[in-house]
Amino acid sequence: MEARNFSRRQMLKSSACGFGYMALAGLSAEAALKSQSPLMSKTPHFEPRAKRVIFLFMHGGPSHVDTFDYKPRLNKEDGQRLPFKAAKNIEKSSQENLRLMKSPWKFKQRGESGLWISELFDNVAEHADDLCVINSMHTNGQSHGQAVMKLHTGSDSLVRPSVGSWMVYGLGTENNNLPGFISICPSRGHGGVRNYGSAFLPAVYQGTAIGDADTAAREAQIRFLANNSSSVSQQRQQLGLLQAMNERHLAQVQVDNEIEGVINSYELAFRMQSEVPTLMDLNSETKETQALYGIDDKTTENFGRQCLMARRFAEAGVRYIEVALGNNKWDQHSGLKNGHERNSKMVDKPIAGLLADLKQRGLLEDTLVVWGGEFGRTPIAQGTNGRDHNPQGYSMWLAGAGVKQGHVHGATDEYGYYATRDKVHIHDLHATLLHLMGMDHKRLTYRYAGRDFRLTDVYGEVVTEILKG
Amino acid sequence: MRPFLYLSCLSIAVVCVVNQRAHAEDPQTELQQKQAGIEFFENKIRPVLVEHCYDCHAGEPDPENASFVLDTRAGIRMGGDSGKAVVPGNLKSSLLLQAIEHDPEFYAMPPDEKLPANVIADFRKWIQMGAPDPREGQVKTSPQKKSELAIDFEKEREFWSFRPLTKPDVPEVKQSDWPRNDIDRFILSKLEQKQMTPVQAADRQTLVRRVYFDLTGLPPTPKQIQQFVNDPSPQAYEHLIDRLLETPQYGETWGRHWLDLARYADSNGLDINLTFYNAWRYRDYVIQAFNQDKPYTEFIREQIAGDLLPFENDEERTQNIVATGFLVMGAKMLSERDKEKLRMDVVDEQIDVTGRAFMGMTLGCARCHDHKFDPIPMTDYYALAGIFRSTETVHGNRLNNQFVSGWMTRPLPIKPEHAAALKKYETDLKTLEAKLKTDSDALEKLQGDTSQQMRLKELVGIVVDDAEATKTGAWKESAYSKNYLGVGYVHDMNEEQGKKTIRFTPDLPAAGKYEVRFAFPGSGGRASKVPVNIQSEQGMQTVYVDQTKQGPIDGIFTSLGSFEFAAGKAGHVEISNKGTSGYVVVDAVQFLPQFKLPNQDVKLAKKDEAKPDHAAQQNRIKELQASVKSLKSELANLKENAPRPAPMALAVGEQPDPADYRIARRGNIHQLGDKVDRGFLTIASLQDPPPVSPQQSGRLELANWLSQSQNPLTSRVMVNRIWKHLFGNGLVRSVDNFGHLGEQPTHPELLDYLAQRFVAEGWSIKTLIREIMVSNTYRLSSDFSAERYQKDPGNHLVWRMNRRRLSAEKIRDAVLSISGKLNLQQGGSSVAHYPEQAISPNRNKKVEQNPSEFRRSIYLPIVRGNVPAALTVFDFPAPEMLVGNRPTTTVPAQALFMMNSPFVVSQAEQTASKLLTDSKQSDRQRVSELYLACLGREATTAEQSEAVQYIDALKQQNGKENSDAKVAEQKAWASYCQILFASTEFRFLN
Repeated sequence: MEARNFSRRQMLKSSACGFGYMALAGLSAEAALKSQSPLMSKTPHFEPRAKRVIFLFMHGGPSHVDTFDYKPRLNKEDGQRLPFKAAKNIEKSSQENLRLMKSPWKFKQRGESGLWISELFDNVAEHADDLCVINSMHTNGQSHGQAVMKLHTGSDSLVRPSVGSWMVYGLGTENNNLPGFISICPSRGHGGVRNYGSAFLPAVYQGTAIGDADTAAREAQIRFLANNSSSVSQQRQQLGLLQAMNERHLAQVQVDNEIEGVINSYELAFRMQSEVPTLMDLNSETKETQALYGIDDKTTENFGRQCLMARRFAEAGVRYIEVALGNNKWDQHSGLKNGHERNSKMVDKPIAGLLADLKQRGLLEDTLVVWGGEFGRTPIAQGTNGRDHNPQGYSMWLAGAGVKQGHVHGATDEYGYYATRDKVHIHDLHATLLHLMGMDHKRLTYRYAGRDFRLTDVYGEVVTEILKG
Repeated sequence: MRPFLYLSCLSIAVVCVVNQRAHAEDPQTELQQKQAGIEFFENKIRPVLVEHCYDCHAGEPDPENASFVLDTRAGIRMGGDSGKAVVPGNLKSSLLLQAIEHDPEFYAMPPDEKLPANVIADFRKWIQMGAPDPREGQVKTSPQKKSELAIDFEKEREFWSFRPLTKPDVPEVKQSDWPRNDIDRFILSKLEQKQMTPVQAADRQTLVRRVYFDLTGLPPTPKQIQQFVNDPSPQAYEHLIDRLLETPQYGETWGRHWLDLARYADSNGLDINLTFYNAWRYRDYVIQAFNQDKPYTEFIREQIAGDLLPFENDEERTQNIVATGFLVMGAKMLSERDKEKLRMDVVDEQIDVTGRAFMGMTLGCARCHDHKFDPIPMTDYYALAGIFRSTETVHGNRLNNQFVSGWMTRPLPIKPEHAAALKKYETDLKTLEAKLKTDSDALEKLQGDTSQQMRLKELVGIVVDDAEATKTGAWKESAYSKNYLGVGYVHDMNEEQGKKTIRFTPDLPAAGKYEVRFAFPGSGGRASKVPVNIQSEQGMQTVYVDQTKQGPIDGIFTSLGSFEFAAGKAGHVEISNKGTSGYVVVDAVQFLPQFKLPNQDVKLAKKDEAKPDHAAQQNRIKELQASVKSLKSELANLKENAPRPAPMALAVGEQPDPADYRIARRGNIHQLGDKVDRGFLTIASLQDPPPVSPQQSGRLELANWLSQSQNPLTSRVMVNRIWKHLFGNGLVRSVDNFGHLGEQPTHPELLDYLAQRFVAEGWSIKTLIREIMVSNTYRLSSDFSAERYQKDPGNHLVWRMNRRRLSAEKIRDAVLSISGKLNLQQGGSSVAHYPEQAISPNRNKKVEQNPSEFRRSIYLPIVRGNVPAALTVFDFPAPEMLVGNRPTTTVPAQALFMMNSPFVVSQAEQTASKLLTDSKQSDRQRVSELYLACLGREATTAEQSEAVQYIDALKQQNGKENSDAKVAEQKAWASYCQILFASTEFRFLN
């Protein structure tokens, strides 16, 4: 980057207090930061319908035919041979003798809209009239790793920037003291950091992880945010001297925007250090709110904390927040009954709590909530109590800013195997998410290695049918 | 709808159709058929085309989105770049049908939703009818795009990077006493053209810090600084460079630059993050290549085609094979189920890195279409694709999963002693394992399930097995269910209920209370209410047992309760099948004394002793048990003392059937077009390239072609990279892109001059580095100058040295070097302790302490997705990507790392302890030494006072909390040391 003319800091320096730490609370850093930060808030391509996204990632692939895609025929023909051709590339050993398997869970019509939702999501079903369910999702990648990366980055073969990075690249942040893209307890495998990485986009756009899927949410932290070796007051003194020395260095070299940037980064870091823990401290929430997210119950505590943190970050202006039920938990090739039940018990109440809370605070107006896994699961039995991966048709849902309410879009065939009507490819969903955030997925490009790259590569159509009129 | 409107202008087409079909009997029928056909089209086909296809496939063909149109007969018959859409009467050749049937190998059209089955049937019928179609009109051809025009390579070679290397004249300069060598003349000449002069030279202290970091990646120690600053020799500077070029740290620093291009990593990353246990050999090869100053062309040849090069000895062969790890290092989507796609994705990655690393060319675009900006036609891409597709990279399966691919690893030459030892080991292992198997099999056969037998023996109390029980009625022996004791169990065959009993009579050693436990292999299908009578001192009692489930104790036993028994054989337990439904199964009964037995040895009544024919068997069992035991220990011993495994390398090989490849339309490998001869980039072939051997992949020829001195890109790209590492910016700032979208060179003549020098000096990197470093240009200070800054704020003309950020490795290594913790051990694996999946998709166990903790950063494990924070925070590139020019970002995470990371905090503590060891030093002396170590200069008096004041204040505060003055002092100093590590002066290089 080219050095600019004599900087703002040069002018402000004389008026700033001698010791740098005094400037921590001051305006100078913020002003300087705003003038040159790649994270500063940017104008979208058109009026956005959503200001931020909360993505609830269900790692492993929850079964659509057991949750949001009701298939009466599947129930009726339980145990029968397939009336359709199985997709290619599925497990060879199981190719013969494929049988349909009905859902072990009951479906009911919910709300005024009459959306079919199974008992696995009884709590979320209370918000049926807010959901926009897409039952015709399809994607690439029969394997988890591919499908997870496809979902997060739009590519199932190469390292590409993740959705959240594209969003922050396109829109900047609303809160300079916080990262623009946060991933709460992400899985470490199946792409791991690449799923919230910026790839060739500048590193400022990468997601900041809070803990990981191997860590309990109550212990999840941003790395190096806490100092265990010295007291706040001593650290303040330390930073004071450090910044004084840095200022002297800057004065001695006269003009250097990079040194200035580093000085600012210390100030910002110190502010983050005090602001973020406050933001992540869920004890400041009322008992009622904590209970709403199920934090008072062992089963729902972990995911409840993640969801509540997400709401707090959304409130504070973070652009893209991912909350993961990680470590491939939904991957029930066997033990479907217990596994899916366990998972739904962990997430159902917290998600419902999140929706209710966002709504009561008016945040659902401009926050988009997205729920889904990397693919669905086959209506075909695997063993006696399991289902295989089903990327050729599955469900995701959206709720909140800009999307229709109590609405179902698209459909799979009568058994839930292939998406058939109004198919929505994951590229289409990406295009739609960007659209909701005020960006044209064809115009949001970044030049790298001689090419203009897009989140949607050369694909993607905005699913206009799900947009609120 | 206008079904008959087109009838009059139809005749030719329909006659032609009908002739083909040869069904026409007479003109009358023919006409009727004609009309029926058109009617069918108008009713069944046209509306579908209009509704579902015309949105994209009408009007003008669009080569990128819809290469053909369906709105005319001519269009639908002609089809697009995949072939004809409709061939009358021929279902197989009509690609339209494949598309609407959503053939997974082809397109799925319409993309949103498959047409209903009856509509697809209509299309089949229509095609079989001869595809009657009244629609007239020609296909409009779109004006040819630039990409479709033949590339005029001669004209394109006028572009600066494709031009043959020139031999520029060294310019004359006005300030003729300034230049020390020709580099300076080129630089000064440009400056003079803008009426500028360079700033003054850097002082010796600044220079020595710069040179040390640039060549060794480490700061000079206070002693080394003083040595150089006080060296009276006029050649002091040159000597310093020469000396540092010969240190092993030089290769570690410059090798790391290359590893950025090689996207070096110790694991695969992406979906299945398997550990690359052998990647370190490539890393060490690169370091060694730089240290040995291997000619760059050799370095290229070995990495592209080392396995195909001649060699004189094992060492050379090893290097050659290891070097090809360059091609294997990429991140591969190992779980891709379409293995041909995986293969071509790997090929694509290889083409991409080869193009950018060696030639600064972005070739990836040409996978789907001719390059839009550079003269790279698709044919060039697929010429290279043929070469890499004939190379084996993806290989075999991993994780015992048919869908998870592996990659090539190749055995390296091995010392004869080592090979012999391995061979002996393999043979011994096989023999032992075979023996063990024979004996264990025999033992198992004799014993039934040996482990069950063992369990029986271990049981305490008095156990009576079913074999010793007294049976009434027919009880069948079985060993079907596995949870039994002894040699098996018996069951009642689910017959003759009420007629069978089985009585267990223990010989109890003493009178007293015994808990009675009943063992049976419970499971579904067994009786749910089995009566068990217990005859004890308390009389007869009946307990009912549910055998549909396993017993609650160890999955075998069910407690029947505790009862008083007399000594001897007075009591018994009898199981009957009276009133049962389902199988009654009986294994054993255990009597557990609830008091201390007089003789602890009594454990069980052995059932076999009584039977004489069992004695021989029992002896045999004993023999076998002894043999198995000794074989097992022998085996363990053998494995423990196994010779180290044969050395393997990440490396490519040749495919058995090297062949040219075909153009994949729009990059779709299931849509192959014309064959392309294997070859190289046309634009960079200034003379006829070497022909590719039909027996080989063509990598050897590619390697030779790349390293030709006439190749206009190879030398220019490399000298620019070297310049970049010494100045912070390249002469061409887009170091990985020498194409039209890249930047122009600021000094094209200097670039060519350096390239010429590079070639002339035998592609010696060290020689080039030295030549640049001895120039006055490199020795310039980084001082600001308002006047010059106004003219050239970006320092494109090099009026000063750029102030540079220290890289992640340099920060970390410098901190360790100052704290005294740095371990300079060279080479070797850093991930031997990692599991097969470096990071698992499920819960991860903590990987133990990193054995390379205090080694130089280049030896840290580079596990994709888990690169050490000390590196990633400071712009270490994602190891999946080729990065010739690391970005320099300023993010709060860096500040947080310097302020709070355990690494910086603990190293600051270390540094403090080190400073405090010499108790004779004054605090001011210590501060000064710290300044020299961290910043390469002495502290001013004011700085010394500031430091001492800070430390004293902290010492006092700490003293209040901590009674130990030593600890208080140490903590205060640590806090101060950390300030220096975090300071901008430390993190920047003047």
